[in-house]
Amino acid sequence: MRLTRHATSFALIVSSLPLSTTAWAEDPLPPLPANESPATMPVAPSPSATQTRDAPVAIATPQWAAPAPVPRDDPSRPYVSETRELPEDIGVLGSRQRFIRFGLGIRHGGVNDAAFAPFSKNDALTQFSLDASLTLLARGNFSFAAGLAFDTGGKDAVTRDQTFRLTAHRVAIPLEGRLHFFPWLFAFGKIAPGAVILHATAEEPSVTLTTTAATFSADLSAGASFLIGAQKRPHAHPFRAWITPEFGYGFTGKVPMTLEAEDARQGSMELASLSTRGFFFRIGVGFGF
Amino acid sequence: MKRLVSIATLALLAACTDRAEVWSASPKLSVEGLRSSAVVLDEAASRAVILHADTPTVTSKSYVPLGKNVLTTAVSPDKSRLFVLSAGDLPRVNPDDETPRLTIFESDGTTRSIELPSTLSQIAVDPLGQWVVIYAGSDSTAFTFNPNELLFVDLAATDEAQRITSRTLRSFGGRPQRLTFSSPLSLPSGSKRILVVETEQDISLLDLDHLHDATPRPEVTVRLTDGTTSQSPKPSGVVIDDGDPTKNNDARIGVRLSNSSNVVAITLTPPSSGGVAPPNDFVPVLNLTDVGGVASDLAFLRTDAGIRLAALVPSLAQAVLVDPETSVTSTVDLPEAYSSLSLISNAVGAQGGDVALLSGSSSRSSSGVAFWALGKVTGQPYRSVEVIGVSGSVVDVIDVPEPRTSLKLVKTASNGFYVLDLLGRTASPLTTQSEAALLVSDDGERIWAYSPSSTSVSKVALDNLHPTDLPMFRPVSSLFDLAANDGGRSLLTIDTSGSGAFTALDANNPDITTATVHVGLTLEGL
Repeated sequence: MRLTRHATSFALIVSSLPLSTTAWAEDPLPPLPANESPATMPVAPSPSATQTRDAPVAIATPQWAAPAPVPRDDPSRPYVSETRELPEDIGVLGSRQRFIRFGLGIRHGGVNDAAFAPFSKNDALTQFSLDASLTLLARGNFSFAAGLAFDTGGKDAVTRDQTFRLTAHRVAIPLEGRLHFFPWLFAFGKIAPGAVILHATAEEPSVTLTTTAATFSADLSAGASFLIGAQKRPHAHPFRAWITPEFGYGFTGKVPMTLEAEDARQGSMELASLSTRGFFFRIGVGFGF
Repeated sequence: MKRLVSIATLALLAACTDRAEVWSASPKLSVEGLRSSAVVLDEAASRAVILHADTPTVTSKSYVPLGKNVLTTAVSPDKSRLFVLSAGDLPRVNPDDETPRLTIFESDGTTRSIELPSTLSQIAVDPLGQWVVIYAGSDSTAFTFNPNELLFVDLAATDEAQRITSRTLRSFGGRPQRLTFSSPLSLPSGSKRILVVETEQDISLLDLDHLHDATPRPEVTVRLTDGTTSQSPKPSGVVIDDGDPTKNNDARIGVRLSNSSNVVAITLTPPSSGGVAPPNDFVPVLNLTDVGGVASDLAFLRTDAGIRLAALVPSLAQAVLVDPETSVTSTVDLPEAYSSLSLISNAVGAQGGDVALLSGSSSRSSSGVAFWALGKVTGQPYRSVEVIGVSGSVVDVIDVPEPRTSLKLVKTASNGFYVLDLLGRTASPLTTQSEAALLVSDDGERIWAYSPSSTSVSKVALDNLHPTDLPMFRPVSSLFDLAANDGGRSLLTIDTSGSGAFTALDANNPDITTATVHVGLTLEGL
């Protein structure tokens, strides 16, 4: 029941993201450098002007605008696109700083608690990660983003002739400060308060014992995001991919591990309270636009 | 940056540490019960889980280390202590490897551990609580060991130097088989306690009161053969009697032999005044008496004619009364080939002679029980033999504690048991669906019958013999009726399968609907 409640909360938060995106879309772009001021741009010539293809007029096209089409004065000739590659301005962050991002990845970490031993032959816990974030603030090379993250994963082990399973869900609100070294690279520091939900199962020959409990959690981590693929059009919002390695420490509270049968009279098991705290590493792919 | 990467790498490597081996070890559980606690021995984890009844249905747990490689366990007759003998690390190759030790669990939950100088595998426990003697068994793991070495552990010693005393018995080829502690005996030099050691061929007597002497008194070896024949009489049990309380020269030890029709009466008499004074202040005097067949049980009985050594001879379906002073015998024909004999004089308030309970055994295909009254009547050396209608071979006769010492449980080879009323001379049958294990509560109020490894448990109230079935949620391996801290009684059933589980109920008013069941006993606190 508690798990369902958390899932519902997560769905509500995810569904609210498009509203935030709409609000962001109305934000003005950051000011351009002086040599890119629209005031200096020439007006595109009208098709009626006397021009020939042999003597083209140099057109100063804004880098975020589409190039003007070349008029076709001879329809019998095949059309040849004359769109030109314009040089990328590496000094502009634009949509490489302010973007909405959806990510997925793998989180691998250690659980620094002896109470984890019944559930795993080692102290490693690997989880699948999903996250969504939104740049809320950009000042120079610094930006700040917030969002929602979800990790889920589990372990199982045969412990003293009995099968144990543990599933760990973590829902967090990542608050991420970014420092953009290059348009294709930013480092970040992140704090992600949230909650961890543990579901444990012990299988006895005659009865299955379970428990589900939640406690607070907070991740403190740092990492970097590398832009791969499309580097261009910083003033538009094309689909971009980021590779993001991250390292940090996850704090969680202790969760009481009192497992009970569905009919409580059939038995209960009092294991030591468990905290899944420990160092972790996450490698993820983020998709931003 | 490079340093940060290194730290991260190390942290992640550290995050892949395997768990301790104990988590993967299959539990190997055994359970012993004390008056107010049950001790679950988890050898694979080298620890014991002590279950203590706070209230009838609330059980607290504590965990204590257990020596490695448990050799044997023993519970004191009053159920106040559990002794666990362990060998330690085998082989012991490092200075910090564990040495052999004796771990003592007290009924109140406290424990203590005594390191031992050698690895011996058997325990004899003093019923009066002062001594534990550790000796070698036939299953010793040492490459070389001394089978006649005895380690005396003085549980009452306050001086650590006197805690352990090692003695090696003088041997004529034998090795200790059984040890029996006497109660205080009136001997010429005063009241003494004697340890009787049976070997395969002789008897040794040690004065327990002089074990700590600077010059230890040697044991007295009573050879049962004169050395002229290769066949040695083999002792198979002893009984000890102090004799007349007003005399100090009639303490006796009766010995039965497994390969001879003789029984031996050893009288502890004062040493003769002339000649060299013996090291001990008593001298054994032997009387061998042929009782016609191999005796299956012995007892010293009071008859109108004085103390007699009674021997049961199943092969003749007879009991033989032996005068220990003259070796004169009187035979009593019995209706069955009874093989066990126990005194019930106190329970029945016998006057003018002892009353003994005779019972058969499955090994001898003899059945039933009988009361044997020793008072003399004209023409025969006993008053009566009264057979009680118990069908089937008797497996065990179980005493019932105060306040119902006049009751005994007779367990038969068939499905069921009898509650024997010694005063009314009645035998009430109680039938079980399968072979049942029995436990009598220490307060004498009830019997617990259960089928090991099944969920069937029944309570039988001893005041009206009313049985109540209590189907458990989990199989029952062992069952204990414990004194709870609040004055109540707690029924604790323990399932040693898997990771172990226990169920706690109010023993006085058991109700499975209010029972508490705890699973994963060997996982908690690990």
